[in-house]
Amino acid sequence: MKKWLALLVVCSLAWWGHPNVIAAKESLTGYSPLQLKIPSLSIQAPIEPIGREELDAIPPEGEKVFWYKDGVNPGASGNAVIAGHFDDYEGPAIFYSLDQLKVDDLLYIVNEKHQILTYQVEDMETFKRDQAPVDDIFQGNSQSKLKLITCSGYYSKKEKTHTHRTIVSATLVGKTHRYTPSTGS
Amino acid sequence: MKKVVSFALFVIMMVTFASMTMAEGEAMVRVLHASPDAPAVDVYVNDDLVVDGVGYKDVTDYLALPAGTHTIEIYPSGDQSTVVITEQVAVSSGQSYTLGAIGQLESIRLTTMIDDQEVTAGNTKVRVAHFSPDAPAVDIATDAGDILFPNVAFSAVTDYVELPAATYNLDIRGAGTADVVEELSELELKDGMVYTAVAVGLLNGEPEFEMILLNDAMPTPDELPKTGLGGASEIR
Repeated sequence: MKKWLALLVVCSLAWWGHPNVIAAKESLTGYSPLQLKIPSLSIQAPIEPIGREELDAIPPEGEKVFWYKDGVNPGASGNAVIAGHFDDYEGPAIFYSLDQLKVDDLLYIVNEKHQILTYQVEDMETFKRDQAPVDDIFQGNSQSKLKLITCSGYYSKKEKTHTHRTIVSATLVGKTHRYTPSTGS
Repeated sequence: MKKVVSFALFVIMMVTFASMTMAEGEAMVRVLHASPDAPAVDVYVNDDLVVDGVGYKDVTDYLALPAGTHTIEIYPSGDQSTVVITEQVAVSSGQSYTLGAIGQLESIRLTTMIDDQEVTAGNTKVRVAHFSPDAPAVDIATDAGDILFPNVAFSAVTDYVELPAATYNLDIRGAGTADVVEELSELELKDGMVYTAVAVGLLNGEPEFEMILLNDAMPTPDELPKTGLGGASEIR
């Protein structure tokens, strides 16, 4: 009896110890994201969902990133859009170094189902604020993509915003896995 | 040379108008590759290459075309010697369309869907396209048992059904039976979004049967957000 119990414990440990080999259940519409991780920039940010109205004036919080919840969820076909500040009132914010990303760098999203999704950077572009292709950034089909948005250029006192926007485009790669961090999250 | 110039102009036109904001006198058209055994394809409109390398299960972005009748030709990617599909397609101003390349290669054809982009606030819209050549007719029902889409057979595209925005668990069942072919669990259908759920692949064979979801419309902001407050930037 004891032996079986021990075996059970060992099996459970083996199960929990290797979470990344188990593909997670996927919904066609994906799930809400909780956290963005960009190891190459040492970024680990909580994700706050915001709607279309709030997108016009995203909160002045420099440590978080903001996901456009009225669009698609990460994991679904289409473009999941996440915006983050380049700087806040005091200094650099979460996406200050976003333009240092390189094509092929990996980004990770942890979602509300404790699954981890892997994205690979395929493209980075900078546009003048009023010339950015908004529809192309938000609307998509076919592939599951992540679009990261931040400010660039200089801060215009007149416009009360930066002159440019930098957009990182990343494509979902591989399977979705269960996320069980070994130490905290 | 003339052809190159006209092609260049056409490409510029495409790029300029390749957004979903429709101009007067234009239609928006996208192409879905749903033929399980067809290779990746190039799509030509009136002899001009508009999209290349569209693979199975891919759907292109919407492209703007002038209202009127266009010759749509589909070739294997990079090979203009054997045409896969030639079809005349009439499109109307202000309307959006999905052209589905469906059926197995030997009987491949283009089916035209008119895409709805309007939805009442608080609601979502969804329709179903059955493009799995060897799958039987199906019913699509909620897990509460309400049949949303009855008796959908191969090549059929249902009307849109408007539903309250919510998360749904849907069962795809053999028509008139309780046999579940596939479950669509935790489908979060959002306020203001319009979807086409497409059954593709083969029940008996490869690529295997699966559902894909197209976004026909989604709420989009007018401009990009203000993502900086100036604390670490040059201020002018």
